[in-house]
Amino acid sequence: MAVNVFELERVSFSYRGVTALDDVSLTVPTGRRLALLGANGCGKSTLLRILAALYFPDSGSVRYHGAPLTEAEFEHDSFSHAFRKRVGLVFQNPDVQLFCPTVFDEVAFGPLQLGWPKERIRQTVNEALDYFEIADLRERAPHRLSGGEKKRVALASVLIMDPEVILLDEPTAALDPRSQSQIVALMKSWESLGKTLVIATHDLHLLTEIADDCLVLDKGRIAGRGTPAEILADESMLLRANLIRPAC
Amino acid sequence: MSEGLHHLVHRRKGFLDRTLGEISHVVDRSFSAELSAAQGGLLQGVDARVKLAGAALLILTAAATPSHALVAGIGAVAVGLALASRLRLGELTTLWTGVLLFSGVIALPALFLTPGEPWWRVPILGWTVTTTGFRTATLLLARVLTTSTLGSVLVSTTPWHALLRAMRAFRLPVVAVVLIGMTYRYIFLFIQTTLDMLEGRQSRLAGELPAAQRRGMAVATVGVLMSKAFELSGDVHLAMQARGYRGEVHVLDEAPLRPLDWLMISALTVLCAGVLWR
Repeated sequence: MAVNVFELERVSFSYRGVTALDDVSLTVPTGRRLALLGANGCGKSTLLRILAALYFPDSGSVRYHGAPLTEAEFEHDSFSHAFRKRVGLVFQNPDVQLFCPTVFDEVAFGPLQLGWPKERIRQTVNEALDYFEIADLRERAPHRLSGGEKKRVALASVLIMDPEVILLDEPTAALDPRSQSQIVALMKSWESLGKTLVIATHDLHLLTEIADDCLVLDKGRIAGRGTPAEILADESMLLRANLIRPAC
Repeated sequence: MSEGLHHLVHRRKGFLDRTLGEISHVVDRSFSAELSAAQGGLLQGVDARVKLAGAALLILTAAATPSHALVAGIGAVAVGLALASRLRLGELTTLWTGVLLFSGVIALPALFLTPGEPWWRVPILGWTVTTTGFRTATLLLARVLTTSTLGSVLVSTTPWHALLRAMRAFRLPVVAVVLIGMTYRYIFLFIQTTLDMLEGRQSRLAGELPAAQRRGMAVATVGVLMSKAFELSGDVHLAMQARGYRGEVHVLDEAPLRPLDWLMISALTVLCAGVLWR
């Protein structure tokens, strides 16, 4: 088995001519927690979507456990199902992810599309609702929930498939302190389960808690990489990447 | 949300603002409908599929029968069910007022234009109301009032998601039901987004803007909303793909109907068929 979950080599991607990622190379080792840092628009979300095989690079290559991730591979149901089961993406905006009429339907959506047996789905959804402490919301419409509740439902809807890789886009953004600490506690609990995490975030103060490695992006290019302690110590690099305010 | 919305509604004056005020009122009404669907009452405890089938049967009967008495009887049953389900009579009267106004406009010409025995002559105007015209117009009004009451009772006592599931049970294609559900869900998001945008605009305005500028801003708001809608629809599709969607939506099967549910549907079917046959 390959040591790296993902290997990206010289990946570039642009939206209608605007460069979002430029010559990005990186590896994501199995079981590690990688934080993607950078200001708004630096390419963090695009990189997550490339790792989730929702976008495919204009140039360069992406490998998952050594196998190339290309659009052609996703034409095959077996490959697509196996990948979607093993790699989960939690979007930054929960409203994007919560499109079903009830919380129960939302959490059941992924397993249903992957063809799990119906009885197993009912049981697993109930367990997931209990685990995320949202069992009392099961018949509620997602658009009636608070921000923290929506985030937990979004996490449950992805985590129910027990992915080995969890990609999180700004998981603590716009949450109240209590919801934020609940999400951080959840992320810390996944470490013992051997999950590989890739987390896009602005929250430098959470870095030491949620990440083993960091990658700083600036205008689609890699501006720095290292452990949280190394990254936080490099003030000039953080300043260049617009991650801290210049001293007055 | 509703307090902020009403605050805005009262302060707004333009066409767009008034329209949004009305939309926000609809959102509030939908919320109160969800609350009434959640409270304990006669129909709240009945399976949504039975209610949908029952409402459809009664509506068809009311629409098909030429008997005033039968339509009035079904209407009385609908009101009785509403009261037994703890719905507020005030909401029904608001519904009836609107329905009477709209259908009254449509029914009015029938009073005078339908050929038949003269029944009454309008003073001053001298127009003649015929017996057949009167019967036709009142039957139309009675049908509209009864069917709208039945529809209102159904949606007020049934959570939206249960209604959607019930539609699936009646062989409506899954994709259609999913689309209706998603449309309903995202309409609320867009209303909220629009109101947020307007509130943001309002908070930075001092005094009234000239009409031309207001129109320009309204157009800009619509443009921004459309671009947000396109962006969101793309992202929602990606979110579906990320969880295994490959062009065909799979859903959970509903639990089978209980014998009591079948009994209720069968009894109502026999009753409606018998009444119409007579």
